[in-house]
Amino acid sequence: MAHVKTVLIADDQPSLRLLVSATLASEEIDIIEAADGDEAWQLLQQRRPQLALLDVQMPGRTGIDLARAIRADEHLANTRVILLTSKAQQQDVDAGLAAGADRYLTKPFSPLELLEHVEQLLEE
Amino acid sequence: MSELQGKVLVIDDNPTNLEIVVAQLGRNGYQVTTAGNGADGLAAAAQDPPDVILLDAVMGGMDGYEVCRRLKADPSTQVIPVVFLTALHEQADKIRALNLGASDFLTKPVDRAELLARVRTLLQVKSLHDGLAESASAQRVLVARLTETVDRLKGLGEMSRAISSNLDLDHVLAAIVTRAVQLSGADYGTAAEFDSSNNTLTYRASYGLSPEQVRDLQSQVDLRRPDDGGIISYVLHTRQMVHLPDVEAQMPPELATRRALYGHDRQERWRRVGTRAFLALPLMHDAEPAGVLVIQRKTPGEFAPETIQLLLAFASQSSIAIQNARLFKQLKERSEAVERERQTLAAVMAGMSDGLLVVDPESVVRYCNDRAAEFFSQPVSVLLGLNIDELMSAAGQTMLEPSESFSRLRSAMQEVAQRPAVELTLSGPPRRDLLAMLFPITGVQGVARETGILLHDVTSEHDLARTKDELISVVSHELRTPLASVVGFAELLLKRDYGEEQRREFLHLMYEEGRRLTALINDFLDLQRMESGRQTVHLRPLDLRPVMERAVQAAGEDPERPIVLIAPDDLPEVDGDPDRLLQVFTNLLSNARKYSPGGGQIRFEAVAYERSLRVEVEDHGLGLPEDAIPRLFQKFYRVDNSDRRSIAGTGLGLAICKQIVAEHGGRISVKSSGLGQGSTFSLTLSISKPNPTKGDVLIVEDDVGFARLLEAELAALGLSAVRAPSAEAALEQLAVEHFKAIALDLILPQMSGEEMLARLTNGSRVPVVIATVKELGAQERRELETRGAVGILMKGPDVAPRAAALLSAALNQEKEQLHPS
Repeated sequence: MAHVKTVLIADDQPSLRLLVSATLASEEIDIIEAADGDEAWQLLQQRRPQLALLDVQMPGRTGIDLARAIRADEHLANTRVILLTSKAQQQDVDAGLAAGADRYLTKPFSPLELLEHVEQLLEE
Repeated sequence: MSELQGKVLVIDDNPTNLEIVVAQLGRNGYQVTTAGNGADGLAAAAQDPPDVILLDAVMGGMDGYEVCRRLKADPSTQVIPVVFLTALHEQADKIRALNLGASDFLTKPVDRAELLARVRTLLQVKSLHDGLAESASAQRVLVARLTETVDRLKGLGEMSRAISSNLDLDHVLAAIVTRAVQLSGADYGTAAEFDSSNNTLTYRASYGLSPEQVRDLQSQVDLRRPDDGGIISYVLHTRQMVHLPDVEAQMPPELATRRALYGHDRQERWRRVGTRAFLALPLMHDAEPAGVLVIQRKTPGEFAPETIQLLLAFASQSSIAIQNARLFKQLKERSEAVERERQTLAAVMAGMSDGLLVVDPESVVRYCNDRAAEFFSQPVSVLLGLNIDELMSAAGQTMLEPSESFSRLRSAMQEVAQRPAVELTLSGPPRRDLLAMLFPITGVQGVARETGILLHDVTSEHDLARTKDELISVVSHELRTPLASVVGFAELLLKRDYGEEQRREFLHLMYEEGRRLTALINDFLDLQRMESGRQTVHLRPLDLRPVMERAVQAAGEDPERPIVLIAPDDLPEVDGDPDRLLQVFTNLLSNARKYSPGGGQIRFEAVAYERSLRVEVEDHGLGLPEDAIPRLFQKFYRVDNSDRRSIAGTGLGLAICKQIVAEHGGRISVKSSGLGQGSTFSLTLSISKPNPTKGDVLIVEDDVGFARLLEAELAALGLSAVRAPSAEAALEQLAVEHFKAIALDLILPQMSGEEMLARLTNGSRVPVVIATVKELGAQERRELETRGAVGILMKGPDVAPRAAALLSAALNQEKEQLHPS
């Protein structure tokens, strides 16, 4: 692989962050973690990751807020977004996609399925 | 000319002249009488007045002039024309004769043709005169008749006025009967109304009869045989008038065959009243009999045709009166029914929990009930008469999204027939969600006249739905989050190979998250049970200190966060459920430790006040931001900041605590000086009411009034008492205390008095006095007596002193038995 890609994991639940990082762990992916929305936004600005895996319900900015902000920020034009959420109702999915998310996965999710989505988005 | 022929009297003392005149007139058909002198002539004229008198002027004895004077002086003969027969030619004689009233002259010798011509002319004049006289008398008759007619018309006029001014049928018929009797010269009269719907005749009015006589008449009414009944039945059936000029005479054939008129009963009745002449007329209404008008007279004789005409007129007036009265009655009944219906409807509309507006085709509010006015925060009087746009703009000040609501309502009003429903939200306060349901109010022809708008308050439904949605969303989130870790790590472990260390880490996380999920489900179900009322607290006097000690034990040892229990030994009892309070204390102590990551002492203290007891749990941990305090006891609320992110919790613990404390009738609150300053949770519980547990007599009675009365009576006899409101409570008391006697009611809330006695062990058997309203048989009494009843009293006014006296006597007796003197 040409170069290492940066992936942001933002979730207030430590066990979820561990689950996602364990799922994605590979030499080509550099994982950075945030425990709330504001920390996530800081990291997005500083590191401009290729992919952001965002929890919707977080303290501070929500995943939806972050997805909109990413789409509005030209520096983050190349950042793909996957929303990971326990909000499973159709209106929540629609809201997430409308905010500019590329994928919307509801908890509990399959880690291997998540990996496929991540790989797809990183190859594009 | 024969019609003019008449009687002619000829007075002449010359027989030859007489002969000639008589012969000439007789040949021409006149009836001629003669008199030979003046006196005879006058007598003849007076006895049988002739049409013309021919009078000889010069006669022996009384001459013609004198005869003429006398004729003209007598009223019975003065109109008879007198023709002088004379040989005289003197003008003076003629004038004298004319002055005396003579009509004409014939000069002797009398020419035959002239004689006949003169007589004929005079007869013509006489005939004219007679005609005039006759017409004068005819005129007098006409005047009399007119007067009578005017009287009748006046009578009818009075009737009409009575009818139009008074729709009360009885009044109208009374006026008609009175006038009918008076104007027909009769003595009695009645008017009766016939109701064909149930074939009944009711006497409505009478004249000249006593109430008893009318009752008598009413009792004789028998309409069961229309073809064969009495006169009234005949009149109603045939719609024919019955006119009996003399009731003593033979009945007319059409009546004589009727069985009801056989025998002498009717005659007898008529005789009793004194009736001789009888007239009955049907009162018709729409070609159907509606009643009978009867006139009776004490003297026999036909009722004059004019009278019958008059009575027929009255009969038709009466029919109109009956018709009017019936219409009026119907109208009154209908309008009363409508009014009752209207009142019911008005009460229903006014009392509805829904708001109701009625809007006319011009969109003007025509009706508005109190509830609608309440919704719009305006008095009804202000809303009435507004058009719907004005109403909405008035409401717009309190409406959320007014323009959207307006357009929704306006377009709904265009399609009222589809009964549309639109939602309006009023910002309030209080905020209300209204469902406006529109419906057409259709008139008689099925054409929509007005629009009804029913305003249903759906605020609570919406709130409930919102709460439910939120709850589902939150629960879903809370459950899915730990589940994501469990399922996710399990999948990784199954699909990938990990080293032992990492495997253990994943399994540990799965275990932790699984436990969290379990706790969450337990807490959630716990709270649901409490909120739905299925799990209630069982309050009883409770010493709190042991409960607090158990909570400290359950919290376990933690040297960095020691729990200091402060509770005096003589802590008063509270009304509490020990299991539920233990749950509260455990939760508060666990929170205190969890949110004190840096350690610190935890104070767990109970303080008694006059009526309440306060328990506090104070920590020196993370503390609380001010804005978190009001929401802290809400379900799933968790204070979020980085310090406590790793602290597990369901967000339900404090909600459960709050619910339990509330069910104890207490309050829970929290204080914190701010982040990092620690928190203090405190709850208050009611101290149990001071309740004597020792006494001479246990009163088992659910009627507090009677129990107090008995207590007072016992106190007067020097005995103390303890009251128990139920058999169960009494058994509890008896288990811990000894009483010398028991006063017992049999009918108690759950367990009966009999059963309570049966449950008493032999050891606790004491004298029992029963006071009850229950009726007891001999068998039941014996059973109660074998179980210790020394007296059984029926509850009544003086039963309390009697029961107290019995109890006192029983105790004295026992004392004597124990300590025989």
